[in-house]
Amino acid sequence: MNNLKINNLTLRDQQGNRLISNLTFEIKAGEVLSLMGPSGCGKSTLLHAIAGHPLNDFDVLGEVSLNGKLLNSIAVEERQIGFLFQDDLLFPHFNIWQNLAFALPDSIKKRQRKEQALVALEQHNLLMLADKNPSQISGGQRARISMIRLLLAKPRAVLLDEPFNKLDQQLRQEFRQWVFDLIKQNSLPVLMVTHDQEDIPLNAKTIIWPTNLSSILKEQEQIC
Amino acid sequence: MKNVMKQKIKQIVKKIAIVTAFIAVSSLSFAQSSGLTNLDWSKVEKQAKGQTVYFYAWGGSQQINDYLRWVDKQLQQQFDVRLQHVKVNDISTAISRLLAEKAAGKTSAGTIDMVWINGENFKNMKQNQLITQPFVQQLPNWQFVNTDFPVNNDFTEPTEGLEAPWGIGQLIFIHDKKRTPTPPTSMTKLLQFAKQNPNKFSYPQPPSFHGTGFLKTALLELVEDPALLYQAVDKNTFSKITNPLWQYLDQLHPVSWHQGKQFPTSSAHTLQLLDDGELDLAISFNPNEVSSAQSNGTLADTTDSYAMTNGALSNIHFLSIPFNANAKEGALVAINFLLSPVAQSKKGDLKQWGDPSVLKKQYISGSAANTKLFKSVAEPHPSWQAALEQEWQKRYGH
Amino acid sequence: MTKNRLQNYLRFCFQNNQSFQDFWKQFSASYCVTIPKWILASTKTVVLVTVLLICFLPMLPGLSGLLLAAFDFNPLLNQFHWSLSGFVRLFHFPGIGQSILMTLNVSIISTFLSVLISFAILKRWYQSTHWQKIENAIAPILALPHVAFAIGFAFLFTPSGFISRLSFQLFDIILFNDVQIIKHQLGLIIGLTLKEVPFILFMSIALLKQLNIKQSFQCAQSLGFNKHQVWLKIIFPQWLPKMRFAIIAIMAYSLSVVDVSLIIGPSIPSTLPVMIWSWLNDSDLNKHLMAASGALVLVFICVVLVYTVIFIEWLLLKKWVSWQFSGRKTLTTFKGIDLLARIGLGNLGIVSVLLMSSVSLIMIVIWSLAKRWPYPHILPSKWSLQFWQSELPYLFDTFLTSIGLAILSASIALLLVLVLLHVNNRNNANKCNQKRHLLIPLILIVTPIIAPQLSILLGMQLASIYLGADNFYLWVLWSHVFFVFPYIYLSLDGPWRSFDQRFNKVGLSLGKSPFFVWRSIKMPLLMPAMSIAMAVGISVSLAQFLPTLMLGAGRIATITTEAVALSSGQDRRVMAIYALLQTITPLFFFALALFIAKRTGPLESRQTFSGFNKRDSLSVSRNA
Repeated sequence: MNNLKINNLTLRDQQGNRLISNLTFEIKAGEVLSLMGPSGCGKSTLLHAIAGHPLNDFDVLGEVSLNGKLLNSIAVEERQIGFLFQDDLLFPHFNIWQNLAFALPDSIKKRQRKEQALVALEQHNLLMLADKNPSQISGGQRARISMIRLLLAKPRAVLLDEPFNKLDQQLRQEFRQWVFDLIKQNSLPVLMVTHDQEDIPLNAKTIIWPTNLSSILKEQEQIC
Repeated sequence: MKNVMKQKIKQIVKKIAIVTAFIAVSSLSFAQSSGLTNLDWSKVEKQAKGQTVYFYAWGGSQQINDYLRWVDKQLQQQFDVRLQHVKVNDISTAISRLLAEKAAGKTSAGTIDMVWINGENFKNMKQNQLITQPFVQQLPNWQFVNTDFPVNNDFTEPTEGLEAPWGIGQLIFIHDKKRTPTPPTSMTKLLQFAKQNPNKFSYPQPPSFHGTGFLKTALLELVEDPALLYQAVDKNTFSKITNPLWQYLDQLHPVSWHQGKQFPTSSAHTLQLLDDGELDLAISFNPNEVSSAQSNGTLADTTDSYAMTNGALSNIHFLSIPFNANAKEGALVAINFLLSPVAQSKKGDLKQWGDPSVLKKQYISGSAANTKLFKSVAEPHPSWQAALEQEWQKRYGH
Repeated sequence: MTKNRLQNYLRFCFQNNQSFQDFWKQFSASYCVTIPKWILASTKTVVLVTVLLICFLPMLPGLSGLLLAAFDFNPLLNQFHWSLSGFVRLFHFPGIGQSILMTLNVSIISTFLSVLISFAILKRWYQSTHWQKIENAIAPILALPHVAFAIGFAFLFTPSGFISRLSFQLFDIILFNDVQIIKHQLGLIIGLTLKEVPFILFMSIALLKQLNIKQSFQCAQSLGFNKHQVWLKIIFPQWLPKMRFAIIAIMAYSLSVVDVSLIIGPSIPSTLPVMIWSWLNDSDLNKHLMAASGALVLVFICVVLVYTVIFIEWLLLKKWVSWQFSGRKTLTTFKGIDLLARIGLGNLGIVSVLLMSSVSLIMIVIWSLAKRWPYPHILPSKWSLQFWQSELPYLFDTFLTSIGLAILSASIALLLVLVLLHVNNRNNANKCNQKRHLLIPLILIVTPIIAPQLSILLGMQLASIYLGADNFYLWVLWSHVFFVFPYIYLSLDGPWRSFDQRFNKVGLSLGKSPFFVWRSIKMPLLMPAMSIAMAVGISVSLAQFLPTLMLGAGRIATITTEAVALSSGQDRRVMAIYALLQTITPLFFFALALFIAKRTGPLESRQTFSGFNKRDSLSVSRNA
């Protein structure tokens, strides 16, 4: 069973100020942990740290492990953590099926890649989009493709960075439900950053951000 | 990591030190040119095989370039020598390069194997010892050269066998018989002509070769005693001797093309301007320019050349080999070939380049035998060149 | 250390009965932790140092050689004392003051006009429907080399030139006899301005795309600013700083240009760089001294002008900022610009640039096919292919050399730029080498185009002779890379900056290796920019005259060196052939680049496939 564990994580900037101190939590398969807080102040940084993307202004201390394997020294591409951004970030030089085929594991042979991409589209009733440009389809469709792409890479955990932010109210609800269903089906641990109470599914754990550290609050005011 | 970098830096420093030492050592050694006396010509031809001769020569004329392409072909076929024409705007480029190479202590494997020079440039090369040892008498084809021409003097400077004559230049004027049936034949008449036809005469801007040639022609006619011009310039007498020339130009310029505020850049430019109808007279150092230009399409069929009644300022242009030439043997073979009757006849082809031959007349065949030569006036001492150019620049160059 | 680890792992594997694949993965992963970062960091440093060496090393011999020569200090001739005689001679040379003033004039006026006209054109046309056409026309105009343009331009405006011939035939009036344009600073200013406007426009294209013009307009117009005010008060202050280096580049170019000046510039006296060039080619050593001193003076003037440009920018954008916030009224100080805009500087500018360039080109084409074209005929009286026929067999080699050199130098420069952009980019900075991270200042990168070429080359030539002048191709190649590099850097810097780094992150998070992500995401997306940059680089290399001549010792003949050598013979027909070739070659590469650019990059901006896609998607939806 998949499980994402954060142990004693600290984010420290160049001057030694701590943005996050000794954060510890565990997310089990199919669970959603929500991080709430004002936008743009360190939540995303935490997600990037877990995903393994290089942080320019922060040092990461502490442990990140997935299914018992320590991730700290493992490269981003080998962590098997999916990352869904605020924007869909479909590659603009690929059409839809190519975007999906890109994400498939390397073990799948050339010919099967298109087939599998189309199968994935078919599963979600989106086959008609296969040959379209990302710019030719609607925002909601793009968001869905982005999520499908993420899953095709066979991640063991998923990080969501305010994924519903850019969608309008109605689409948002629909898409949210669809995403959480998918995650449940795939039994993945999910860490989600949001600043909207509504985004949080019913049975999810929530960390309200920031925790009671007033020094951090000050820091944030400066940044914000 | 740091150690690796340190080592690397050390290595680089070492390399720099070696290079510096090399420069220092090589700069100490002096020019040593191989002796060229008593050459065994067959040996020269043998050594020349496979060599490429880098020939620095003015590249502005397509006829000359074409001729040199032909020479290259012949040399490859007959002697297995390649002639690479390095086209320069002005041959002094080559001399400045040689000077730099000499300063850098590069006494062999130089970049220039052969140059086309005369006059002041030759004097400069000779003075700075940029020429290999005397070679001219050793050339088998020297026997064909017409020694009645002043081939042993270049603008009064003795050649001492350091350069081989190649062709003859005569300062001539070109007019269109239809537009200007009776062109001026003396400097005085030229001034009258210019006054009657303002904006229709000009000469190439000194220090261009042809421009200074025009100044010398004018000075030779205007000066009281032309003999003075065949001695080196004396600073004390210069202004007195040249005064008539400046007075003349002071009168000529206001009625010249663009009121003398602008001059053609070269002889070729005057030809172009003659054809464009902007000028009535063009100036050239090639007495056969008209026939060549007509067949080439640059001048109208009604043009003709003539010289001043005093005669045409005449000089010989030469070929020489630099002190550090890499392909000396190849250059010798090339120069020898250029002095052959075949090459000289081809060079004199009136439809092509039309440059008059330096060989005795009996060896020349084809249309080159009909070459035009005017009454000649010898070039003054080369020191006049720079002195006139400098004074002209001071008076009119700004 | 590795051996120990291997043994440990083997033991571990046997105990846990792991597959070899897993073992290898873990082994290589642990290997990655300690050593590669090390290697990676040092490789990056080495690569960076290499880039620096290749691109900036020539500055050292260039400038030090120049300094030594200018002060008559020559260790090789045992001259170990400084002397100012070069400068004394220089400043006593008749007409030098006038020449320097004129050089300044030409440089300052043509730079100012190019900037003004370019901005006027952008203001007038950028949002219009015709902009795409203008954008398409800019590349071929850029491809038209300065010399070729000058040859065509000269033939248009001489008293016996084409325009005068037309007016003579039609109205019996001979033009340009009293008002001189060619061989006058006026001609040089006009010629340079017309040639530099497309360059600024070209550099602006990428920039304006980044600036989000549309949103700025919507925003400002809703606040009650009119279009004119938005351009002046919102776009201009953003545009100018980004154009700084382009402006300095054209300023430096106009300050040190030799070939164009020889053709259309004044000759009594000539501009300073032309004087230096003629002294440099003199066989008199004293003239060389003057040339070196003159070149140093040119460097000095250039530095002063660079700071003037920066100072003016600072005045306009930082010091006297009030005009930017002064509201919706147009300030009196800008009435001038306003007036110019009203009389249609934008229209006039684009029309004259397009017209002059195309007519110049037509002139060249006709001359290349003429046998005789005497005054006052409007068309040649005799046509002939003979010059093409006689030149073509010899052109092949020259052509190959030129193209080979251009492609090679542009590729090397492109590679170096990619490396530099990668290393120089904060976003890519690895934690591990961040602390001693080298950020190369832009000023260093663009020095080769800012410093007067003639001055640097003078020193480089001396260095090349000292260090072994036999490797002519290497020296010439190096000098080409050196001069091409900044242009490629400038063309790629913008697109690189505007590339969304999150695409990389998405790719990595989808489990792809950094190289794979670079190859299949970043490269394809930046392909349009890279192909255009490559074409720019190739065209810059193709146009190099002085480096090829001075460092190649005549061993390397390119179309450009041939063209300039032949121009001394004034044979318009042969000059035209070479000028045409000089144009066609970069044009071919620009066309190729545009072709590639329109078929790569984001799908939405591709042209040809959109129709195909529509049809294709229709059939898919029908199937579905």
